Amino acid sequence: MLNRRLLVPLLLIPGLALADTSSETSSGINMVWLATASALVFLMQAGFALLEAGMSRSKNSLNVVMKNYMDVCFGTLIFWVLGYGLMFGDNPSGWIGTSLFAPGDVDAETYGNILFQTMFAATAVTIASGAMAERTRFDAYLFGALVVTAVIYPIFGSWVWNSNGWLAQLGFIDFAGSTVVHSVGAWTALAGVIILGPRLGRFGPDGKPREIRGHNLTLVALGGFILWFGWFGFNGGSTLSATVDIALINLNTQLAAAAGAAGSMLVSVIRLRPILLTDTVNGSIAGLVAITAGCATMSPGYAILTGAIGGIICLLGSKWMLQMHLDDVVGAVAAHGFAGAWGTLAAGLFLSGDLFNSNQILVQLIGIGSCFVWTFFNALLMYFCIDKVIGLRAPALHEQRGLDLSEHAEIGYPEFPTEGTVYTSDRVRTLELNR
Amino acid sequence: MSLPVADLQLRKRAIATGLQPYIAIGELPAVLEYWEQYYAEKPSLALQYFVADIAINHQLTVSRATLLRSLIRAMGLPAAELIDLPSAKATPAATESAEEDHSSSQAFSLVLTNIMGQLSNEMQHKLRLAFFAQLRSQNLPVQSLQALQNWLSHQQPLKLGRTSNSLLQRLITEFYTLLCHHFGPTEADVLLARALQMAKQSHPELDRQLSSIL
Repeated sequence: MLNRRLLVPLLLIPGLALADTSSETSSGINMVWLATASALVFLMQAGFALLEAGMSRSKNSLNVVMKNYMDVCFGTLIFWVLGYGLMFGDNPSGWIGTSLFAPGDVDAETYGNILFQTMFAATAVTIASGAMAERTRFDAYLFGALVVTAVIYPIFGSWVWNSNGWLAQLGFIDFAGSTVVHSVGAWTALAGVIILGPRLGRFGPDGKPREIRGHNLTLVALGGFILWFGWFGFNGGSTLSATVDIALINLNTQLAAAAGAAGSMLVSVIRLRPILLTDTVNGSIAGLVAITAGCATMSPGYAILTGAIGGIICLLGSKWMLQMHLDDVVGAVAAHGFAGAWGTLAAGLFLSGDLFNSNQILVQLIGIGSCFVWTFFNALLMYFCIDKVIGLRAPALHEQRGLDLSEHAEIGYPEFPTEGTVYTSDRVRTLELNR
Repeated sequence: MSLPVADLQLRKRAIATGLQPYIAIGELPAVLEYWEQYYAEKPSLALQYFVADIAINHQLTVSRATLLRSLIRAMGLPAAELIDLPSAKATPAATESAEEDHSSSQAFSLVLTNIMGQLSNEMQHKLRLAFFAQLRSQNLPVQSLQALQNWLSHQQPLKLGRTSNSLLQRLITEFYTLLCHHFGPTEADVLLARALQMAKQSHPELDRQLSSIL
C-alpha cells in the first residue's frame, strides 16, 4: 500500500505513478483472491472428512478423520520439499520438473501458487482415504499418501499444468483438475481397493453385496455442502488471478453440481429405487468433478449436461464397482474417477467456439488414458509393496474392534448407548493406561 | 515361508531376552507364543506391531519405543548372550497365570455359546461346519483343537482348559470373521455385543477375562 510520503513524488510523474499503483493493486487483489481460494480448497478437507466419516461405521469414523487430517499435514510438507518442484520446476523434457525443490526464496506470486497447489495436492491424495476406509492400517495409508503427493501426483501434474508438459503441448484441456486432481486420486483409490480387498462380510456367501450403512448421514450431507462450497475456490481459484472469468466458472460449477444430484436422482426414479442421500450427495460431487476440467471453456447449458451425465455415471459406476466385488466405502472411484474422466472428455466435446472437434477429443482421450496408466499402475505397485513390507490391511482383530480403538485407542462417541458394540469407553480407558 | 527350527528358537530366545526386563515372568510364555503365532515369519519391521499388540494386552512399565529398542537390540545379540526360553514351572506366578488362563477359557466358552444361542438351529449347524473346517487348517494345540471339535460336533460342552489369551482372542476373531461372512459385519457386531452382555450378566466375575479375550 502506498503512503503519503511516497505518493507526493509519484504524483510528479502521474503516468508512471498510476501505472505502478494500478499494477500493484491488481497484483494485490489477485493474491487476495488466490489466498482466499486456497482457504476454500483447504476447507474441502473438512468436507471430505465429514463425508467419509459419516459413510463409515461409528467404530471407524475417527480413523477416517485422522487419515484426512494427517494426509494433508504430511502431504503439505512433502509437496513443498519435492512435489512442487517436480510439478512446476523447469521441465525441458516435458515429463518432469527439475527445479524449485523446497522453494525458500521466490517471488510473492510463486509463494501464492505454492500455497494454492499444495491444497490441490492434498485434495488429490485425500480421495483414497474414503475408498479404502474401515480396513486400512493408519501408518501404511499415510506412507502411501506421502508417495502419491511426492511423486505420482506431481509428475502427472507436470505433464498437464507445467507449460512445457507434453500433454500441455498437445493442447490437453483440464482447467482445474478433473483428471490431474480427481482422477489421480480415484485411480490411486482403485489400486488401493484392489490390493486391500473388501471389508469383512461386505459380500455374502452368494457373492451379492451387503449394505453396510454409514453411521451418520447428516455428516455426509454436511460434508457434501462443504465440498460444494469449497469447489468455488477450487474452480474459481484456478484462474490464479481475480478476473471476470470467475463469474462463468463458478456459475458452471453451481449448475453442474445441481445437475449432478438431479441426474443421479433421476436414475433412481427411473429404476424405481429409493432416492438415497448418499447417492444424491455423490451425484452432486460427481457433477462438480465433471465440470472441473471444462468450467472455464464451456457454456452454462453444456455445464448442466456435463454435470447431469457425471451424476448418472457416478451412480451406475458405483453399481458396477460392486458387481466387480470392489469395495469402495464412499463411492470415490465412481465420483472422482469415472465422472472425472467423463468431465475431461466433455471439456473437449463442448469447448466453446470449437464444439465436437475430433482432434481435441483425441487429445482429451490421450490425457485420460495416460492418467489412468501412470497413476493406476504406479499406485498398484506402491500399495503392493507397502502390503508386503509393512502390511496395508488391518488385521481381522482390528476390524472386529474398529480402527478407532485399535489404531488410535480412542472412540468417536464414548457416551452414546453401546448395545450394539463390544468396545465401549471403558475399554478405551484400559487401553489408555497401557499406552 | 517357514523358518528353520534352530533359527526360530534363536529368534524366540532373542525376543524373550528383549522382553524379559519389561514383562512379568509369568506372562512371558504366552507373549512368546503370541509372537510365534503371528510374527515369527514376518520381517523385523513388523516388531513395532508386535509391541503395539503387547501394549494393548499388558500393563507396560516403559514406553513402546523402549521396548522396541530392547527387542531390536536383543535380535542382534550372539546366542551365548540370549536367555533360555522360560519353562512352565509351577511357580506361584505360573499357578496364578494358569488360573487366569482357565477363567479366560471359561469366558471364551461363554461368548461362543451365547453367540450360538442367538441363532437358529439351521444357522448354528452351518456355522459349526464352517468353524470346524476353519480349525482344521489352523496350527492349534492338540488339546484345544480336540475340545473345540468335540463342542462343534455336539459331543461335549466347550471346555478348553489352559489356553493362552492370545489364542482365545484369535479364535474369537476367526469366529467373528465367519459371522461377518454369513450375516454381514453389522449383524456380527450385534451378535458379539449381545453375547458379551449376556456373559457379563450371568458371570460378572469374568468381566476382566472377557475384556482380555476380545
